[in-house]
Amino acid sequence: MKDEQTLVEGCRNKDRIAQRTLYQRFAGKMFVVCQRYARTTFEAEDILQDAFVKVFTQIHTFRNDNSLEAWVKRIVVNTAISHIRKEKDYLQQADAEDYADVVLDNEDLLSGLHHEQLLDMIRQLPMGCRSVFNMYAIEGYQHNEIAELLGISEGTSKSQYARAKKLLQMKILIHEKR
Amino acid sequence: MKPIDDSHFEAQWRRAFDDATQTPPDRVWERVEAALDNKEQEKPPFLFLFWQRVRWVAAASVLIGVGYYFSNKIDLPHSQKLSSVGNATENENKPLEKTKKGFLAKRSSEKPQNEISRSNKSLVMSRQNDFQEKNPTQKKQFSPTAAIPSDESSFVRKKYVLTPSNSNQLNIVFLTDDNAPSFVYQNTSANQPTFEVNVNLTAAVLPNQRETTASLMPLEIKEWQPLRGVTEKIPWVALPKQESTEIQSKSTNTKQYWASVGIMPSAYNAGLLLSPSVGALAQNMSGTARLAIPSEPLHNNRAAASYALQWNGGIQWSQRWSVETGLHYLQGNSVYESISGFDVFTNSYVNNLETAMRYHETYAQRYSLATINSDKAQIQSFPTLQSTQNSFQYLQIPAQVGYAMTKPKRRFSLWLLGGIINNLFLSNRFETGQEKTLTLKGSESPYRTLSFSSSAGLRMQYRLNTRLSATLTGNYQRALGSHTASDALLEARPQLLGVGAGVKYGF
Repeated sequence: MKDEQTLVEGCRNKDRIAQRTLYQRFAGKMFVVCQRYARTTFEAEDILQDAFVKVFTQIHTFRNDNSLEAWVKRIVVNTAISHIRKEKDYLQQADAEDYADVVLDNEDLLSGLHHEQLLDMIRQLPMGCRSVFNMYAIEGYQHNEIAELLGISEGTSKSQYARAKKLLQMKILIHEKR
Repeated sequence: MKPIDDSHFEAQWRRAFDDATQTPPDRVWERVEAALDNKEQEKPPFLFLFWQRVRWVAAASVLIGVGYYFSNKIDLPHSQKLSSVGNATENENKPLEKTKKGFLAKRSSEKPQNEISRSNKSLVMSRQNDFQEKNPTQKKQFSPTAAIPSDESSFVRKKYVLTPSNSNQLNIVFLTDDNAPSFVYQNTSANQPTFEVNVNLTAAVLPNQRETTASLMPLEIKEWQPLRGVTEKIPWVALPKQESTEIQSKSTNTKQYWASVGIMPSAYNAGLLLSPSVGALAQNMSGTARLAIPSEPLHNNRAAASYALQWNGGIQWSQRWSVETGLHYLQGNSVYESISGFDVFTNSYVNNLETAMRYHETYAQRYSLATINSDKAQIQSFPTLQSTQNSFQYLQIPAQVGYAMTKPKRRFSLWLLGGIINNLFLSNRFETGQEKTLTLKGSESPYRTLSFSSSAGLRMQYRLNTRLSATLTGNYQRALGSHTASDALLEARPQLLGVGAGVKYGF
């Protein structure tokens, strides 16, 4: 914790070494987050770059009583959302009824799958439902929050999530059959 | 966000990515670093920088303002009259805090010299009353406490010292600048609290800056409020009109002396008006009954090209106002037109203007009109319109006030001028009916030696450099009353309209 405070203090003083240390500490995890939202690796790099520039320019707003990783991740996710808001794909409407309860949950659904494989599955999702899936399933946003953040209706968020869930379950089943 | 494991499906995905990590390419950091470098090189907006500089000052100002507001809330009413000096002490046992608000009093023993807290800028004063409450046998007496040295860095650029005056007074002697007055503060009563505030006008010389002399004069308390933070609450007094050296020097700095020289081409109209009796006098002077003089002699004045040489000096005593005077030499030319008799025998005019000039002062003839009188029997005359070139020489001493309509420090400034012109008559020259040029000077002429005109003008000033300015001044002068003596046969109410150019030098 003391090390983290020192790191933050160094970043506040625009110490480049401290900035690089902080980047190296969180860049790997955050790059995965970016890849979940981005369509391509290059886009993920752009999001990561923008997010860390924000982290270093806004570091004075960070309060030491919070988790630095959570604070950085929040910035990365928000930056990613800002990126995808520029896209119109996520506005694709989907009928929630079409995707409801298509596949039952399996307790060991993801066992034996590496996160890179899961990442590929996510990146194969259509843009709209991919964002909703990331935000709902992994980041833990509620549908009303997602609707507000993405500028869509809550129903659309739910239907997109249902769609993403069905598509991912199908991909997992296909993977298991191989 | 929802709890981490409220759904099995989502929980599996969340766990799968919990520790997922993938090192981004090095180029990402390089781009981040480059972006940070660019941002650091970008200058913050001016307003942000300005705010960064002044934010503490602004915050302090707000605090001071709030403090001032609340301190006034408990202050005494304004304009409380003072009682006379030396009748104090009926209720001195009452703490000063109870009498007049916030007057912080402490025993002198509690605060040795030079140990007065200056953090809150409060002047801790010694007061015998507190001490006396605990020591009733002791006589009422104030004791001196501390000399507060000058605060070189604080906002109060004065020195303060607490000195004893007599047994009933608390004296705060403000050792200001060398010539500034000090004043004495005295608490006299608690039940009907009145404060003595006196100004020591003779405290100009304070050799050791710890003493004061005794010439006191009462003042009226204008307002109760903290005195520049020196004391907790003491009356704010209006010191007599004896400004501090600092203020004086400030006001002195705004004064500017200047001198100018210029020339003003102008149109001068003598504004002559002859008395109706002049015609009869001219007829009498000509000696002929057939001199054709209309009963209402036609007369007309026309302005002619004139000029004035001007030397001015002035003081700009405030940013907007200035006073000026100077010396002008006015060459005023005018044309006087009238119906005059023309003597065909002598081939000369019987000039009404000449008549008026020569018959001034109780109609006594002052000049020999031999030419006419000797030949009057033979005069045959007829009326004719005669134009008389009339020239005047005046010395003018203006006394004018100027008001800057624009900021005078600007390169171009506009001044409104107004005042009085003192006209000193030098001479008047005109062509007589005998085709001679007559020059009248001093007391020989019907003109007053000193006459007055009003003056108004507009001056455009263009600053060439810090010292030198070019001026263009439009000026209109109009006589205040006649410029001739009261018993003269003519009146002269000259007017002048001119535009002058000059150069002004500021000292």
